[in-house]
Amino acid sequence: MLELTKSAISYSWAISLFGVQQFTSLVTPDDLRDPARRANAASYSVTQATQNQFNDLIFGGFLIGDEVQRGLMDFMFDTLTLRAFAPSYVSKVTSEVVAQSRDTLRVFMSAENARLAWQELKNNYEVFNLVKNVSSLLHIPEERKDFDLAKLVEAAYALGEYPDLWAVEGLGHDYAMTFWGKGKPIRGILTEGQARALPEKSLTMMHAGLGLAFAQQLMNRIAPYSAASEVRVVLQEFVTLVQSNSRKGYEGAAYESLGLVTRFWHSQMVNIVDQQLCKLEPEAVSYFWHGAGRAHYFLPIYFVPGLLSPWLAVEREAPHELARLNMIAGLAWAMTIVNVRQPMIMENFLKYHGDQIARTPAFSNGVISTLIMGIDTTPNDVYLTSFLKYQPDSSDQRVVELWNKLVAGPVTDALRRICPVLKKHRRLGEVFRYQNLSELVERLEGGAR
Amino acid sequence: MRELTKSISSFSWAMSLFGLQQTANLVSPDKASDAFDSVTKATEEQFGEVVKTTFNAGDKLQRQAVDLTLGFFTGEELNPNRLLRMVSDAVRQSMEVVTGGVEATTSTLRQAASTASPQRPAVSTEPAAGSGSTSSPSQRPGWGPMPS
Repeated sequence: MLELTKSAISYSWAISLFGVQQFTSLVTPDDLRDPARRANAASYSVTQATQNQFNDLIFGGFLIGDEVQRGLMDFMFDTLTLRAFAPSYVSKVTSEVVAQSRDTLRVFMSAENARLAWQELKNNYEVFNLVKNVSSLLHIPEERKDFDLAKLVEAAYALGEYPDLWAVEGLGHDYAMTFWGKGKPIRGILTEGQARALPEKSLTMMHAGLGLAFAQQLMNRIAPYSAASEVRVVLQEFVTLVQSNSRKGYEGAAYESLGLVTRFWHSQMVNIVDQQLCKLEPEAVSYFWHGAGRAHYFLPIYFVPGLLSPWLAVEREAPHELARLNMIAGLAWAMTIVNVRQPMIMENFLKYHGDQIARTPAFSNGVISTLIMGIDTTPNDVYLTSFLKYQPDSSDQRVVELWNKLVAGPVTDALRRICPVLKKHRRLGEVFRYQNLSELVERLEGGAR
Repeated sequence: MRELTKSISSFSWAMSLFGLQQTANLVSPDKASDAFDSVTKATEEQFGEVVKTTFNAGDKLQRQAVDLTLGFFTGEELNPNRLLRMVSDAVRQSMEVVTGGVEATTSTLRQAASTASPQRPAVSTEPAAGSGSTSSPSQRPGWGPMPS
């Protein structure tokens, strides 16, 4: 109790002085072109340190409140600067409000829709907990010397179809973390030592977990107010780490996690990372945006059914076409695999959003890619097999057509034609971004001949 | 201005929720104490030299005052020698705080009148490329590794 009292007073004293420091920073700016930069940077760092102390529920509440206040502030400033009265602005906001209201209404329109929305929420939460608690589920040791990778992979698969996928990803993360912060160069995590004996089926998700570990550690070193050179140094380190620890052809799975981590925990840095990554490693940009799209499915603000739609958010947030396509593909990826046990969730989604998403090939690409990854990770998975065989209610021919056009047709073709070629050429990492997979297969086969 | 307003709102929102989190943490005082210390440390890292000195002096003073007050109730501080040493330390610390405050004011005025000094980096860690070395390999608590 004594220590707690001292810590609490110390904290209050620090926060009081922080106010003084911030005031001083504002009245004596370092850079007159951006006088608030130093104060913003300091606030960001302290806010980050504070949110690191939150439990899941409070962290979720923080993210929701923060996104809402940022949106409101933007709107307030746009109104004060009269930007909000421009016809294009009014039309954009109106169409977004209408689309969101329609989506919210859809959830509560029928008991069946509400039931499916509730099921989707439960699936999302289950997956989240699976990845979060993988260490305790598999009894993963913290030290590398105690790490029996082969046994742990076996234990991950023993959790059964569906949980195994997330468990392998979590295992990849924890295994990579045993190499972190030891002061030695990190090389060959998934190419040398115990990883040599990894079964092929575990490789995509092990790489996704590897990228997650690197991105989580490295992104803590930079802030939106860091100099561009600092951001580049960190991104270069990420790229180097991925390249020197991944198997050839699987790097994409690791790159993709950078987008997930950035959008989830460092949302203000998404566009900054995009700009610097474009200069540094253009190949990684599409993976980055795919991960950012995937993050939308797990963000607390989009977690609650009917509150806000992630599909509208990705359209709004994408700064360019490459980002938009990859974000849609990433979001479709997460939605498909998380709800693979209940294909009626996808059917219901197509019923209300099918016409809109049919306009872009990115949705189908996300569905195809995630199922290729799923089948590669868990061959003969009973849920994936029944998802592939599923046929929507024949009373609604429009939904049946949409299902065949956007899901069943492309997936059947991909599993028959694309998946074997990607496996043969060891290029499964390619599915972690949006691209024309048929063209890729032609290129690979053309090159092989 | 827009960024500053958002940044202040974010900070205030985080602080409010931190209060809530700490209330929940009260069942485990060690955890609550660690959380306070982590945020205090992160805040301290943002301080300039003068504010840091003031903080350290004030912090020592409050820690001794707490020891003195709570020790009085437990009878630990009734030893005259210890009491005398405590009082003299407290006086010395008070002087340090006053000196620190004067220095801070002088420095602020000097700063305002002169050209700006180099900016403190927002996040200060100097990693060795490819080594993953970091002062605190921060495994983020709360939401752990995310699913695909």
